Amino acid sequence: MQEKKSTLAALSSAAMMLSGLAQPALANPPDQKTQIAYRFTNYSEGEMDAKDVAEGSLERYQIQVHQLSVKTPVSEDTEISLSVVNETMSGASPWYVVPNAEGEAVQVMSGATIDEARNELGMDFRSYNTSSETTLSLSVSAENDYESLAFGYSGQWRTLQQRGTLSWGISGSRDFINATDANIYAGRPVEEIKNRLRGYLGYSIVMTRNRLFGMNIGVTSLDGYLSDAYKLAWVDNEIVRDNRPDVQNQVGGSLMLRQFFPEAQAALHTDIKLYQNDWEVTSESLDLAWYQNLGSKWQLVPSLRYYHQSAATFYEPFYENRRADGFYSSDYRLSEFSAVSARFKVIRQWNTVSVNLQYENYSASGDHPALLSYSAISLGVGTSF
Amino acid sequence: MIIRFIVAVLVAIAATGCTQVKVWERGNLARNEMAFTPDPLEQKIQDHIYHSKEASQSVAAGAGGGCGCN
Repeated sequence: MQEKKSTLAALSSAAMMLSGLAQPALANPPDQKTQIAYRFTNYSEGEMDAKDVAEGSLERYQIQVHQLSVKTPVSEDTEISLSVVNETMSGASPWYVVPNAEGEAVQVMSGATIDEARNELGMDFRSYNTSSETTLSLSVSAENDYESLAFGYSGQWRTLQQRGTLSWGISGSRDFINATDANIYAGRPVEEIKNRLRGYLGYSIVMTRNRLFGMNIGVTSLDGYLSDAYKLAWVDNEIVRDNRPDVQNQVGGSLMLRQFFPEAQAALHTDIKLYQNDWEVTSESLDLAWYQNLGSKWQLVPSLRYYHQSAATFYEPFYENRRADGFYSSDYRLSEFSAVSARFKVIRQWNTVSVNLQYENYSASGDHPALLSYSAISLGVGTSF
Repeated sequence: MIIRFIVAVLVAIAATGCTQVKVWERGNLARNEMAFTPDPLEQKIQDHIYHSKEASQSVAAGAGGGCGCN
């Protein structure tokens, strides 16, 4: 009798193990568990170099971000996730660029410290079965000068005996822009609207027992107010408002490879992203991460990201002559630059609780005087039951 | 150029490297560190920062918005 019980127990645990292993390879597969996660990030931009600043503060943005998410099953084939983000920001912001006596570009920063906050509330409702799933997403984000309403509808369909997963999704948002101090600074935008519509297709496949491969391609269309509400441009000794086309079409793709090395008990992540828009900005990024297990409780994750983008067709740090199309932007984000980001993360597991600490250092290089460097340190805690 | 080379290598791996993997052979693939997004909160804040400091946007779907930029 005792032997029968042991055999039954062994068979049951084997079946349970197989059921766990049968989970498809997904970012966060449905598991009928409640999950709670919190993350705090302290983001700090490096000071401007005094030789690059013509006027204003050298200090840049400091941002503290709190994120909280809760996911819980609603029924045996549905779950709901709620997420909250709170950001508080302070610091000075790049305003416009002027040529100095030698004709080199130097930055004028906003003088006063800007203090603002952003709050975001999101909800995902996921419905799933053994071969497919769909998710409806809604979110709202609010700042004192910027509000955004967004939706998403995405799905996955598993094929080839769950070896392959076809992903698709559409999303859209409507943003409302009401610049602060519009009564003081003539021309600052009020009651402007920006619309975004995006669609993507993806496919991932189990290649070997230790390798996963995935790819995505997406298109996005933006229309409405796409300029920066606060930035200005120097044009032939005159200061004018940042003015960009009111339509932008984008196409982007990504390739993702995950390789597990059993001997080293480690996984290598290789992510490549390519992007192009019709303002003639193209970009490429390569992200490598190494997940090293140390026993069953510790994990070390060093990672490195390289990014490069070309400049928008109408971008100049400052303009010697007027443009026929009237488009002007000296925003460093539209300039050509490269950026390297180095990260290091430590993860510790205690039964159902996981704690992680991450440090990131980001540094951009190019011709614009306001290209930034920042460091970010974040602490994450999560549990599932 | 380097990235184009790596893209070519990845596509070549994808085109040639598939083998039949039974359900009970997927233990390593089900590990959290093998997920495309092992930590969704970390991914979300990282994408948000890159999006507000660079001209590119990621291809992911799902709701989300707001500027939070300067």
